[in-house]
Amino acid sequence: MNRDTSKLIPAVLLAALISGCQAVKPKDYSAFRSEDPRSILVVPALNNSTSVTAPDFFFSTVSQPFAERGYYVFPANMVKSVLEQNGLADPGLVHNADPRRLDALFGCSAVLLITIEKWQSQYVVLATTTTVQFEYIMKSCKTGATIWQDQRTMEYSPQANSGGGNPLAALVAQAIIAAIEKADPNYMPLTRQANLLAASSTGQGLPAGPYLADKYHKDMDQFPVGAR
Amino acid sequence: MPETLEIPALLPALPEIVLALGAMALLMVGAFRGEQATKSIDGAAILLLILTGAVIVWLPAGKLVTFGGSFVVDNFARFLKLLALTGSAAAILMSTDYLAAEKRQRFEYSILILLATTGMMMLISAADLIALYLGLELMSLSLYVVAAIDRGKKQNNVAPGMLAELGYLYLEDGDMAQARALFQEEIQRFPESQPFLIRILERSAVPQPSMAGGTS
Repeated sequence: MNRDTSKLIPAVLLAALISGCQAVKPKDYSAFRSEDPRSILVVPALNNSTSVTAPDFFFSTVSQPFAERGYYVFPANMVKSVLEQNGLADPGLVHNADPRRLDALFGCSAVLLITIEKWQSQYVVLATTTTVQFEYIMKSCKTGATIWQDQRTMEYSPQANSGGGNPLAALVAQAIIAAIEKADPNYMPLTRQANLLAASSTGQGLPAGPYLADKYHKDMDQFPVGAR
Repeated sequence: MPETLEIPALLPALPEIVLALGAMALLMVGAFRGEQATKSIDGAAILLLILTGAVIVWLPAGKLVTFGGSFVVDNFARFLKLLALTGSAAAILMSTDYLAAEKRQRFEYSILILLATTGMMMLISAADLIALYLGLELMSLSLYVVAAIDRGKKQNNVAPGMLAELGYLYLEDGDMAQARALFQEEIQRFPESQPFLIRILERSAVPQPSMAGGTS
């Protein structure tokens, strides 16, 4: 068995499961490959949802999946406070700023700008659906050009599984479960899943970075240059 | 009693014997050639498992009994043994990539799996409690070693940014020496962080209006 494929099988299965088994075409990685970033600066997320707490929760989950693709990810908390000290406290300012300005501050090769589009939990008595949606855009810190982008939507609605028995009891159980989910929506697992899929889906996420020495520059098949 | 002194028929246990002797031979190869033989030993272990499977298929058909009735090979035992061999081969194949990525290859790993498989096959053929006990011990002893193979090994991987983050906390606390040491360690591990951290250090090195400075 090929070294790469055996490891990717679970990830691909997971991705296929979540994307509803649609065949996904690999992206065009020519811009990414020519930029060949070594480090990623993750800046605080832009919040388009109605939740006030979403950005901070979200920010704590981004670094790891991208670092595990083999890139140096700048220390999140430190980046946040340095941005604040440099008059870029508002995420909107950072997102609209010229990435080259960030290069002067951080010496980064790429900046990851994430927008939280949805972070909500909809309650309809018997079913609660928790939805998160993120937009990922990676720009080069040297040229300011977009080198990679992705979008992930994750949904979760808990189901009571009562096998047979009283249908009324099953309804009550479903209503209770929906109410619990509404009271304490399960955002974090969904968010982690979204980030993981965005960072490491084959043909969609990031190619292996310099700290994954055995795959770096060797995954041209999974992350092709030029559209197919 | 001359009956007990007779050597029992070894043919029904031939697959186990092949597997055990093969594993020992591989252990010798590993002991003399060291860690660089890991890859070839992994491959040889798979081949050995296939060979053992072939021996099982090759055994004469029907129910074979040996060792005074405590070792039985029937069709169900054959099926289960092939299943155990397949499982072990899959385990070796699937784990080599991970172990290589984590830099934890050891040639003993696949050999221990082979020995555990010998125990499983012994268990499958056991027809009385003493044979069952032998099989169980053979299997679990090597599995204990596999489970503990990485214990006590120091992990020296720090996630990117962790040292810088800690250094920044020290910096905010005013402990420049600690901060500088941690930043330098981060730069050494991740050179990409250099421009950023050097800049932070330079900026904090500029004497700031402190309380002590104010009074003098």
